[in-house]
Amino acid sequence: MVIKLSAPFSEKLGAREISMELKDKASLRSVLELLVERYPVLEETINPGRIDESYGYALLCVNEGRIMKLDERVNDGDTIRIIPPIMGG
Amino acid sequence: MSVLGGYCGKILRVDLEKKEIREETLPEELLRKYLGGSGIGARLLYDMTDEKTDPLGPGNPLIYMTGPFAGTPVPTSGRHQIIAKSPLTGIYGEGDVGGTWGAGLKRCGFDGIVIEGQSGGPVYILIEEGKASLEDAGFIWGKDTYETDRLIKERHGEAVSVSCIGPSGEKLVKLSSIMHDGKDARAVGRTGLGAVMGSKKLKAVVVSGSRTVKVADENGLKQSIKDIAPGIVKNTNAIKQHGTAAGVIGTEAIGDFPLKNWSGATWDKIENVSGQRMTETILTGRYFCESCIIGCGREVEVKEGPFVTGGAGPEYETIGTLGGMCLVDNLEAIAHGSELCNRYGIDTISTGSAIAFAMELYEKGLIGIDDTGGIELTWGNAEAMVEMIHRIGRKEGIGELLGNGVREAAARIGGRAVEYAIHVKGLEFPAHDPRAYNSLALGYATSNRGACHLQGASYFFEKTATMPELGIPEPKDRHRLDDQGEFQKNTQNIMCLMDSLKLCKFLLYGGVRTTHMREWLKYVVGWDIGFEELMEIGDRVFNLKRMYNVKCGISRKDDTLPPRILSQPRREGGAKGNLPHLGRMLNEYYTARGWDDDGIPKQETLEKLRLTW
Repeated sequence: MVIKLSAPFSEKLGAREISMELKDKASLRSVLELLVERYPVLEETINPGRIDESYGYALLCVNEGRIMKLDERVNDGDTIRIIPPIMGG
Repeated sequence: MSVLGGYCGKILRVDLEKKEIREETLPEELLRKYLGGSGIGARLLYDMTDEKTDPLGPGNPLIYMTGPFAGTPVPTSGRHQIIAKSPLTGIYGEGDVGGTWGAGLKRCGFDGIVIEGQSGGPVYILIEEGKASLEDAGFIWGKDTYETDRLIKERHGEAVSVSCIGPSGEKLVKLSSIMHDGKDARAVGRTGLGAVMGSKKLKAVVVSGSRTVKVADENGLKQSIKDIAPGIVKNTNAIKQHGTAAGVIGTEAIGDFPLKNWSGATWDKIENVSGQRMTETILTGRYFCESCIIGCGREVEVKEGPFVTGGAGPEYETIGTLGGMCLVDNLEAIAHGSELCNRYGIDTISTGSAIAFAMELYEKGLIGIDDTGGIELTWGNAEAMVEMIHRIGRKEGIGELLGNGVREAAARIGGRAVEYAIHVKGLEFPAHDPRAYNSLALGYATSNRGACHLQGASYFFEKTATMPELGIPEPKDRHRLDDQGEFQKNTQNIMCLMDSLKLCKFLLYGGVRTTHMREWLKYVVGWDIGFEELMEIGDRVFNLKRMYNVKCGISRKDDTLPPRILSQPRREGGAKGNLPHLGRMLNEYYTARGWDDDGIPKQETLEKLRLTW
C-alpha cells in the first residue's frame, strides 16, 4: 500500500510518499502503529492514541476521499492520505 | 413570561431623511417568538418592505440586531446580524459578524438599530452611553475602512466600536460589505449590504457604552460555561492553531475545495495556501472576538515584496476564492488581496468568484485584453487577481461590470457567459462544493439568501459535529442519497436559531447542543424554553424568510444549481464522479418543510408557526 503525507507530516518525515507491504488485512490503527515504529520521527505528530475519532482534531486518514475510522480494515493495494483535520470555515 | 436579563428591551429607530432618532420598545412577545438577531431582523424587514421595495432606495431599512446574550460571558455571544433587502440578489439579505460591535451596542442600552430613509449628505451615527446623534461624515467619506476606524477613534477615543463601509459601499458596488473593528476586519460580507448603507449616505455606526448587561442567574450561568468551555477549547484547537484555513488541505483531499471557477478537481499546490503554511510564514498573532474562547482570527504581516500586508489574515473562504478559484497559489498575494477587499469594503467570496468567472471568460475568448483594460487575466496570475480587486473596489472599467455580481455580469456580456456564472439566486457560491457534500446541493438551492454554506451548515454534521437530539448521533455520510430532506430542515432550523441567538457556529464543532442554548436562555433571560419550542422558533424564522422571498417571486424554479454543478462531476480526487440528485432531495425537503410542490409554505404550516402572509 501507499501512504501519502501532506504537511505538516511530510515535513517531519522529509518525504511525501511511503510504500508499505501488508501481509494480512490490517486495521488503520495497526498501519499507523507500524508507520511510527518504522519512522520514529513521526511519533509526535502521528500517534494512533492521539487520533480523536469524534472530532479528528489531530489528523485524518482519507482513502479515495473517504474519511477513515481507526478500526477500519485496509487492503494492500490501498492508497491512504494522511492530512490535517477538515475543520474551519 | 418575564425577561429577567439579557435583553435591553428596546431598539433605536433612525430616520436619516428627517434627521430623527427615537427609542422603541421591543414587546416581550416578539422577543419570545423570534429571540433576536436574524429572527427579529427578518420580522422587521418583512413588515417594513415588500417585493416592490428598491434595495438602494429610501424604503429599504438597514437593520442591526444583537442576540439576548450579547454583553454576557456566554461564549461567542458578542456577534450581531445586519439585515436588509439585498441589492445583489433582490431578495432577503443578511450577514452575521463577530468582533466587538454587538456587545458594544448592548452596553449602550439597545438590542438593535433600524435605519430608514437616506441622508442628504454623508453622516455617521454615534451612540455613546445611551445617547444617539447624527454626525457629519465629511472627514471620513472616501476613506477606506481601516482608515475610517482610525480616524473615528482619533476623534472619539479608542474604546469605541466602529461598523463602517469603504469607498465601494459609497459607490454602491453591489458586492459591498460592512466592515468592523478596523484592521481586525470582521465582515458582514455577503449580499451587498454595504451598498444599502452607501445608498443612505451612511458611512458608519459607532457605539461606546459601559452599561452592565443583567443576567437572571449569575451562578448558574458561570457553572454552565465552566462545564462546556474546556470541551469547546479542546475540540476547536485546530481552528485556534491554524485559523479557519486549518482545513484547506483536508477539503482539497475530499474534493471540496473550489478550483478554477468550479471546473478543477485536484490541486498539487494546495499546501502553499494552507492555514498551516500561514502559521509557518506570515502569522504574527491570533484574534478572538468579544467573549470568544475559540480564537479563529489571524493577524498576519508581509513586510516586503509586491504583496505587503498587515492586519487581519485571510480566512478559508478568501483562500478558496482569491486562491483556488483563480488558481493563485501565492499566500502573500492572497493575504494582500484580502486586505484590499477589507479596505475597499467588498465581499472576498463574491469578489474572488467574479474574478474567477472573468478568468474563465478570458480563457474562452468571451472577453479580451481590451475588455480587461490591459490585464492578462490568466489562471494563476496573482498580479492580475490583485489588480482586478482594485478595479472592482473602485468601480472602474471591467470592475464596474463585475461588481454587479456574476449573474448580472453574465447577462450583460451575453452568449455563453451565463454557463460560467456560478451562483444561486444571484449570490456567488462560497468555498464548498455540493459535489463533495450532497446535502450542500440542497442547502445552496434552498438557502434564503442564495448560495450559502452557513444558512444550513449541513456539512458540519458530515464532518465532525453531532446533534443527538435531532437524530444526528454521529456524522453522516456526505455522499448518501437518502435522509436529506428532514436533515436539511433540521440543520437550517438550528442555524436560524444560532443566527437569532447570535452564537458562532464554530460552537457546534466544540460540542454545543440545544441543551446548552436552553440553559443559557434560562440563566441569562430567565426563560424556560423547551426543546420543541426552541426548534419551532428556528422553523418560524426560516419560514418567515422564505415567505419574504416568495413575495419577491421565488419558487421551485429558483431552488436549483448551475448546470456545471448538477451535471459535470469532478474528474478525479476525493469527490470523483459524484453528482447530487437535487430533484429527489428537493421533493423530500419540501415535504419535510410542509411546503407544496412549488416550494410555497402551506397554510397549515404557517398556522402551526403562527405566521400569516
